[in-house]
Amino acid sequence: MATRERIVVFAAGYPMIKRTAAGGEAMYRRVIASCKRHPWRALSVTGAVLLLILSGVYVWYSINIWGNLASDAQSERKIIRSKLMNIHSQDQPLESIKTLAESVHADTKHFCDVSALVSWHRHSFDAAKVAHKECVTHQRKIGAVSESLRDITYRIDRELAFEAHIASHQGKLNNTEASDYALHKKTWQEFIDLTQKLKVDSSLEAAKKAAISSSTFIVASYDQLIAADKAEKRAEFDAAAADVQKGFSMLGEIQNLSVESYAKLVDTAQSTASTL
Amino acid sequence: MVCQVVYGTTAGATLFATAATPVLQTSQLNSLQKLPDTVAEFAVPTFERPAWYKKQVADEKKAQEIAQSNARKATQAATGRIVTYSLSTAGATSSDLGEFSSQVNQTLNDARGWARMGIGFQEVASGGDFNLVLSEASQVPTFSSACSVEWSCRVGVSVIINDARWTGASAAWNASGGSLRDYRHMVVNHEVGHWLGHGHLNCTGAGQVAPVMQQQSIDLQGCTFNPWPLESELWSSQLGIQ
Repeated sequence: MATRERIVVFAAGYPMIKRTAAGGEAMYRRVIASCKRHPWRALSVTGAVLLLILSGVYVWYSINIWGNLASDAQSERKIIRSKLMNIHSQDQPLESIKTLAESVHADTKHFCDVSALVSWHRHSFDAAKVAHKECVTHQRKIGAVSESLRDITYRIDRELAFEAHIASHQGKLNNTEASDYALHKKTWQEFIDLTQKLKVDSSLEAAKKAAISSSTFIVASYDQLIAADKAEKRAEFDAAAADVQKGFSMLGEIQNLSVESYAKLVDTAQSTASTL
Repeated sequence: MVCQVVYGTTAGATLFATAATPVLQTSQLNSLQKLPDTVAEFAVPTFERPAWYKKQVADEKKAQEIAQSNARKATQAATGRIVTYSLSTAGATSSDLGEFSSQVNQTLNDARGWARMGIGFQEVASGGDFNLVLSEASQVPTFSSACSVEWSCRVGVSVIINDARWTGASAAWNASGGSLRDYRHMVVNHEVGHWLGHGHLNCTGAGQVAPVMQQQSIDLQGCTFNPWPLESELWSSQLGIQ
């Protein structure tokens, strides 16, 4: 009996609820009811809503990507410029420059790459085209700085090896008795052989050649010195001794050539850095 | 003489001419270079004469001088090359260009100078094997970042004489009582020496005469001032003279 009364109450109340329901809610109920009756409609409605949301997200994503591309590149330029200006305060400037050059090189390699989802926009939309072009301009400038710094660090690494090679040779000479001409000659010949095998940067090739030619001159002079000493020919001895000294002064050309070629690398680095 | 073509660590930082704030400092980058300083540490050997040599010296000293004199004349006759150079100025210079031209020519052709290699120097109106530039101090760094306003310099075929040094020598030179004319001899011989293919040299020992390619304005290292090339400096890779 009680169950029946509840049904009656529910049935009696239904028209009253229907009369007072909001329009949207009524529509919602009708749509739900319709979807229950026609499942394909439900699918269409759901698909349309999802498509609308995805389209919105895609447009937002594209605007965000292209809008930030050039400004991010410009910010990066400013950051790099600031880092370059602070290099002089580093304890190990060579390592700092090397680290900076490598990180800039790695960072800017794919600087202007964007997601494949929106990359085609630069062929179709002017705004994307301009943003990409601007980004590539920044990328080139940063890339040029990175390259010129890498040239310098590579050169210095090679030059330090060359310098160590010369310093080692100087140490051997200093420990050799001055009157032992044969041993001096042998030491210089070993220096030539090792110098020929030494791998140097192309900018140091001229200095390397100067080292070899000067050393060859010194070896030849020691040959003459040894012969003159053996034959007890004083004039020949003097000439050979003077030639050995001349050979030493010819080594100065290494300085000349290394500073000149390095100055060119520095000029290039400064020139590229000034565009940041 | 000090010049920054082969001077590893430049004292004055040359910054970008176009940028208000320097991005990279020249002095910082130059300080990475160690090779030039190490090469300068080569100690030119001094040979202790063997006993047989000393025995002969007393008897043959005079003959040897004649032989050397003859050998020098033979070298001069065999070479006889004329090196040409042009003169120009950079910026606003205060020196008398006529006097500059005349004194430079005298120095280059002086019998105590590079002319001992059997070469002569001739000024030409333009072109020439090298260009001798009298430059306002502030203009010197425009030739290369390795050059500074302080010193003279050599960049490629440009032999740049700093007008401030030409007119006033250097503090170290003046303090030692050296004459301005000798300084001018030295600066011309030193910078032209770079063009001839020379780098910097160190003093060979206390009391010795300084090589002209030594940076005499910085430190004599115990040597005595010398504006002229030593016998051992008479070579030129530029001219193929050994």
